[in-house]
Amino acid sequence: MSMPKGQKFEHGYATVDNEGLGYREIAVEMTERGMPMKKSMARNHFRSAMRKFAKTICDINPKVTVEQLADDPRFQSAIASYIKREKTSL
Amino acid sequence: MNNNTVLKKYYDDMSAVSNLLTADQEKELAKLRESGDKRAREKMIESNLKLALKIANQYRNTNNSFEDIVQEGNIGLIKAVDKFDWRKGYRFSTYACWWIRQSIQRHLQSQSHVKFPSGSRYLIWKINNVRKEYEEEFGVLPSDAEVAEILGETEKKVANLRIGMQWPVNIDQPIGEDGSRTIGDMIPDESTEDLSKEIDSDIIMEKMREAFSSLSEREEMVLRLRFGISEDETDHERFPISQEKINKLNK
Repeated sequence: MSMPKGQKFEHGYATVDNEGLGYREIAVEMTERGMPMKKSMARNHFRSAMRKFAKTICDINPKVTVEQLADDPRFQSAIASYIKREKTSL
Repeated sequence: MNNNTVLKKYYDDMSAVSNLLTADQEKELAKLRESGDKRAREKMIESNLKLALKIANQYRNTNNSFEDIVQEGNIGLIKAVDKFDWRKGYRFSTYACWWIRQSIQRHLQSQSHVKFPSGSRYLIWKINNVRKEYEEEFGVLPSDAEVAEILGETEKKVANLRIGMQWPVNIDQPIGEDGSRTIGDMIPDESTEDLSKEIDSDIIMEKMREAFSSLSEREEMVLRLRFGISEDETDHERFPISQEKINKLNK
């Protein structure tokens, strides 16, 4: 019996560049900063933040759902670029 | 003397000299012309000037000087007189109208900004005909490849001729009922930013800032760590240095 294929995302998976951290590393870092959390919680916080960004876009252009957009690696990459560019003014 | 006066005088002169010929008269004059009688030749030309004018009238609305069109029609008429063969038994007008039309059409085609050899102009005419017939039959215009296949030409040749046969337009030409605007006014300037896009972009950026400010402290910190965005290292209250980092710094 073959292994289950699992969910396949249309546009691949989001990755982080060299400076970014994985969820496990984020959980460790946050715990050290006095905000204890597990890696699943780190992921939940990340997805919650992405949904907030996605909602603003979906309000303007409701062609895609908030969940679809928030999970889209291209959107995540765009948000990363946006925050990096805007971090001085934010 | 303006154009209208010239034309009026031409009409008057023509009505004075030209009388329609009967079939027998045509035959007789053609025979004489063949034997070198110049007066017979002139009589044939003069008698058919009205025919040339009638055909020229069909090309009046072609943005070309009507006097030139009439002149070209007359040149075609002269060619027809010189080449008319009375032995074939046709009326002269049947034969002459082809020469008159050909002469006028060649003149009009030569007025194009892009000069084409006669063969290419003929091919353009065939391309246009094929496209028109194809559209009538199938309801859509054919591609260049389809036209090329029908005509037995290469697709590249058809494509090049189609580009070349486009009629140039004066962008300063007034349009609209009052003529207050020109075609140039309607052409977008692609070198400048689209204002509506700029406004949309501003709205999106504002929304993104709002979304960013709505993040909880944990969400923001996770996001920054995930994306590797540097934090304000002087804000130790919000981003405290971990014991591990302090140990590293002390080494």
